[in-house]
Amino acid sequence: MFIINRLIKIKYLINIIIFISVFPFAVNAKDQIELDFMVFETPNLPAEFWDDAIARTVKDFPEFKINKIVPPNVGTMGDYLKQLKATDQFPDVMMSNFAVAEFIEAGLLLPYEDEDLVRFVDPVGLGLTNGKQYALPQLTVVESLMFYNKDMFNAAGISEEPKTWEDLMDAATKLKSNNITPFIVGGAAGDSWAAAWPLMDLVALNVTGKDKDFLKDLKSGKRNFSNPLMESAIDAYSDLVKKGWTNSTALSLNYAELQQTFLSGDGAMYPMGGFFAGAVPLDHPFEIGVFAIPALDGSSRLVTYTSGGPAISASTEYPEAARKFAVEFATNVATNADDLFRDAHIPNNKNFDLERDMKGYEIHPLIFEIIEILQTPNFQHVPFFTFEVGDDALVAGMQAEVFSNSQEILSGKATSEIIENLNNKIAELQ
Amino acid sequence: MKITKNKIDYFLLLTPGLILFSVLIMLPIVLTIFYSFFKISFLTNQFDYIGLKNFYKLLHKKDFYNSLQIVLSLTIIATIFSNLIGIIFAKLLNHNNKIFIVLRVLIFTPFILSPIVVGYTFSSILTDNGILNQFLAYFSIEHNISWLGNSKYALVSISIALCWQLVAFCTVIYLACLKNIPSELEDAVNIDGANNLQKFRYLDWPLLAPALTINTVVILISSFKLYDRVLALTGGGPGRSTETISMLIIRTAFNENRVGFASSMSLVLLILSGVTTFVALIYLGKREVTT
Repeated sequence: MFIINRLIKIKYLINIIIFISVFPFAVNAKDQIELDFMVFETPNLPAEFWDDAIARTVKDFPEFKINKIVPPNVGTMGDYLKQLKATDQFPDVMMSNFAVAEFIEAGLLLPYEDEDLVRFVDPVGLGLTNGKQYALPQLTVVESLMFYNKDMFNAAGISEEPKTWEDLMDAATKLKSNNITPFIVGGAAGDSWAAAWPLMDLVALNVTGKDKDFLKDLKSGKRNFSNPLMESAIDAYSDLVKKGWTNSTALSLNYAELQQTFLSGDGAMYPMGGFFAGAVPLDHPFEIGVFAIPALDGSSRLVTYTSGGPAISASTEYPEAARKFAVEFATNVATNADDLFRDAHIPNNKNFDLERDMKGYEIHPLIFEIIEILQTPNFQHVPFFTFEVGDDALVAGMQAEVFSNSQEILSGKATSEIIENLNNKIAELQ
Repeated sequence: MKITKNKIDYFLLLTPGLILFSVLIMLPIVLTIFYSFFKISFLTNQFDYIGLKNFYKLLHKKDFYNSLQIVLSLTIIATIFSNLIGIIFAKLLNHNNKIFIVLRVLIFTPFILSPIVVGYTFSSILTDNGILNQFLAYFSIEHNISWLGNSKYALVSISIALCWQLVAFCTVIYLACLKNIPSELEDAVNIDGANNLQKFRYLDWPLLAPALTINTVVILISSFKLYDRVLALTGGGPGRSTETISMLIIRTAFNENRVGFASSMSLVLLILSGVTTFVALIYLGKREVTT
């Protein structure tokens, strides 16, 4: 009997211990705000970057419990979001690294309030829709950049960085005559966006950045792609292919391989966004330089993208909390610093100080060169083609068509065929 | 009609299967048929009845004909080569030695792999600096072939990846069929003095008819709905040169937000594969009966 009584007491004691140890967690779980957060992973921004960034914000605001969601491919993030929407799994918060315009039009995103934007240097960024910001302008990426191999430029006798399109063509001619592949381009399978990079730059620099009404007219059906400016922009890209100035491997390289092809010294120039600088090791065997891709007409234009921060689902259970998390995440100075270091994303955060906050990081000089290009006074900043928002946004489905037709350009298709494809598609989608 | 306890039991036993079949198979088909008469966007929740307009548009859609041509090419290649190689492998492995038993297991391995894994494996083999080009370079053969980046070769590359997996399935089915051939018949053929070719022509080939039917039907169905391997290998590119109908459907539904139009394509694909499979079944089935 004594033993049974002791056992019963021990049982009670165990129950009390379990209750005491589990109770705080139970209360905590009830108070926690659980948010699904979609991020994207690239070679420069791997899982570790996002895990650290989320952990930093959650450390400061422990009320959040964040479930990280990653799309299968960064280039198809928008499509993946649509699949999640169709299956009622649309995330509460998502990095806006996709064409957000159609999601805004569909009423799927929540607009930010003015107070959410006070921490950003440029609160407008990519643009507003009906006067509202739907994706935090967390960072600026300079998109129209040409990275180059300084050793190859020297070997070909090119002493200065090309300033005009003619200079660029001269440089390519000299490189080719020295048996150097002038341009590394490409993007296969799910990375067709990389194949489209030069075209998106050329169109932004020479068409949409020059003729401000082009996209509005395109959307309203007043005009189509049969336009002399558009033809010359596409010609400029396809000429590089026709002249044999691009790598023959273009259409079999995924993004990581494309990047590596340039880093391995297989070609002299690499048109890519500023984030490439984050992939260049400090001790890289050859020196890499960077200049802005010149416009065809000699004007000083620079394609920039100021956005990329979190967007909020209009159907989130916690709109206020989601906005708070998004703003805190986008303006976390340590995350901004890591993002600049890894992906050359220039923070758009008023509280960020380059000298103070990058202490401890060994930044590649290329990143400073990109910041210098961004701050060059005479450049007219123009939005990145296919990523526009508001009235200038392309109709849903056109971005994928631009990506696919860029591969066609690399396959050697004529400009007239590309224009016809784009015209057919826009007519079909309108 | 008198309802007996037995009938209730049968009905109860059938119910779980019927429910699963209805929910997982019939409901999506019925919904696809229903959606194909509407203009639908999952993004905007638009749901407008438009009658047969989606089918009319489909008649004029160049991309659809391009994808149809790609799928038909792949289907023909896969049907011929997978069956042919499958028969050869089955004949070679039709021995009872322990080594052949191990080989049989090995030859079936590709079929149990996930198609997406097969896609990524082949992409590492077929990429410009991949194993195949390195192998060709070793023998000083032209090795600058862009197997996945050139639209001329991309479809061939996909066919190879597709056949590689289907051959495994075909081999096992043919082998099972060969094992069922009565030894008396083989003895009779041997006594008649038939050579290997005659033995295959007059004994094996007619008796392999059921296996041919199964394999052909499986290949037809697999090829018509091909998606994952192509996604991993070429993503439908370069351009649209390897975009299958399934990929076009996904792009139309989720990239262009035209779910109704994509449903009409799905329905046409269902009818096409259904009719083709039915015709194949009838034709090959007759052959089975005759033999």
